Amino acid sequence: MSHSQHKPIAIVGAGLMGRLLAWRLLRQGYKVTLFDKDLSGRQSAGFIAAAMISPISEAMAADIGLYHEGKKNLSIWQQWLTELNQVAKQSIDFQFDGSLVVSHPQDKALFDRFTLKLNQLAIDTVDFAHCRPETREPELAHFAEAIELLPEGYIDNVALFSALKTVIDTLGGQWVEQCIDNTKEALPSDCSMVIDCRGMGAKKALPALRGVRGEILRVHAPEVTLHRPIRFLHPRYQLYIVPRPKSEYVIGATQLESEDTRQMTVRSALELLSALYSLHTGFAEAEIISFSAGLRPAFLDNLPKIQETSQGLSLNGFFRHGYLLSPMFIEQTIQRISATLLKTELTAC
Amino acid sequence: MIDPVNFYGETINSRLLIGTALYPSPQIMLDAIHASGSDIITLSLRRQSPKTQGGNHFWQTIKGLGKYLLPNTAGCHTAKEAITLAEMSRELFQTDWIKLEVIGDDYNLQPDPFATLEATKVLLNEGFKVFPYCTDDLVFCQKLFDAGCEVIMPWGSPIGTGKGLMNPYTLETIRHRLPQATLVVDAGLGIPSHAMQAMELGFDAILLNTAVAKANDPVMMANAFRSAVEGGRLAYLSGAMEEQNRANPSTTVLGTPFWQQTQS
Repeated sequence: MSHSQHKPIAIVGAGLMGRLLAWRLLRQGYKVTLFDKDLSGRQSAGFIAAAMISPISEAMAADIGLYHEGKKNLSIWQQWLTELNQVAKQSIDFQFDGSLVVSHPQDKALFDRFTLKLNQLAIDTVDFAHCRPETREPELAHFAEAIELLPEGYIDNVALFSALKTVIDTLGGQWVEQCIDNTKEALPSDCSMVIDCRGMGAKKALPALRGVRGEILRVHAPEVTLHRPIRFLHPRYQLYIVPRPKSEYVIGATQLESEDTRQMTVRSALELLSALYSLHTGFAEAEIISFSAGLRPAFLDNLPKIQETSQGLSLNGFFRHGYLLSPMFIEQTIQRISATLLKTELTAC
Repeated sequence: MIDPVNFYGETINSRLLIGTALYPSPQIMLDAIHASGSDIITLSLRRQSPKTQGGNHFWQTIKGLGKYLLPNTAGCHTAKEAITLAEMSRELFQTDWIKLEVIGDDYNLQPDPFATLEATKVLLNEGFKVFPYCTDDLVFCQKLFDAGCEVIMPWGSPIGTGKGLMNPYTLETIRHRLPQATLVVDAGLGIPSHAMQAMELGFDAILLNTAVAKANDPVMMANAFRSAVEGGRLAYLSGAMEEQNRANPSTTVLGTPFWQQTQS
């Protein structure tokens, strides 16, 4: 039986994971229906995020595994984005040529510590380089030193969400705008499996899931020219400034153990704006496009999980690693879907 | 096993108090707390929207440890802010313990002695058991003690710097002058030997966070601090020998020619 003869697979949650999964399933010939309370995707963590892919920086802050896994995912992203740009006939801006780490003079100790830890964690020496910042970013000559992290970059996630919408439509995916609070009650019964990609929307079904608040700022700064993500070492936050097309920049992100979803606080805005201004005075006259706040879905270990449910699978807990880890998790999810459906068929025979 | 310590009438076995910020993940935090052997866990509310109970999931995780909780007022800059937050935390955590932190300088997070003392008096009056975070100024510590604080927590150095005991002399003076107070070195420690040094000076306990949370392996570092605190306590109790300039051979020198004795 070919995939197209199956009943459709229901994907609940049309954020980053839901969309990627739908696209990859559709191109293998599966039928897919996506459900979300808001099909624009604007409320999802993956849409609000700065969409950096930074295996080294994330490994430095958490677990060395993120470095190895992240690098593998980076090469899959490269293929996927090239393919998406062809199929969706759009141009998603992405850059995987590296990021730059800098610090204020008063945080020099953090910079030295970062250098030491690169060695302690045995980060491959071909993956980073000490440099004069202006050799990579001419407008950052006022910083004394920088570390270039090579296997890092960013994706324009707003364009990605839109391209995935186009390609899912082209491949015949269905969209249903409906809030699915309980997957058992609300879904049509004629689907073969339910894949729960709701993120924080699945909190009731996954009691171990918690939200970690993140706040982010977008500006339009024609006076500034930066090509790659810049990471600022700071004693309390992981601050970064990520370029976007047309002189836009995303500045993030706070990380607060809170499930509060209100707008950004004054204190967070002050911290993000002062980081921005101290990186480059050209940001002084930038136009603020938006302040946003969202929750990153996370488990206790801050690592994502694929879990079996009575109706299928749940894919959740990506925390701040949605872009870093999604391709391989999507591939594993598809393998498990394929195995489950095959088993169902064999049982039916 | 070391001797227990008394905090406002509660007998506590561990002399290491540990914080809950900056860990790579809550799981690593839980493992590190377990490894530290701590019985008292500090946690901050200020940035976690206590009014809307935004940090509830995280707080429940910490409550689940079944340890004594010491909520703090980190991030407060005035006595009024700190008092309001203390009242909120008493309601949320059902404890009258409060680690009072009123910051006077944003750059080095130095406590404001005047606002700290003002908030201390109000909170003690409201029935709180105040654990004030203060500098290593003897008069400041004395005034906190006179106000009624049974526990006083001077810094070793500014929060998060890892510089250790910047001024062991002042800390030692505070120990000598306030023998009745339960004294905790809070903040600025980087490595276990800093904690051990404070315990050897006769401090009753150590409070730390960054040194463990920001280690490459927080769980192992928590273990290291646990050993250091225990070692330091035992060293203090055992009564150290006096330091002296002249070498003093531990084996008898009887029979050694006198010219060799004078060279030693």
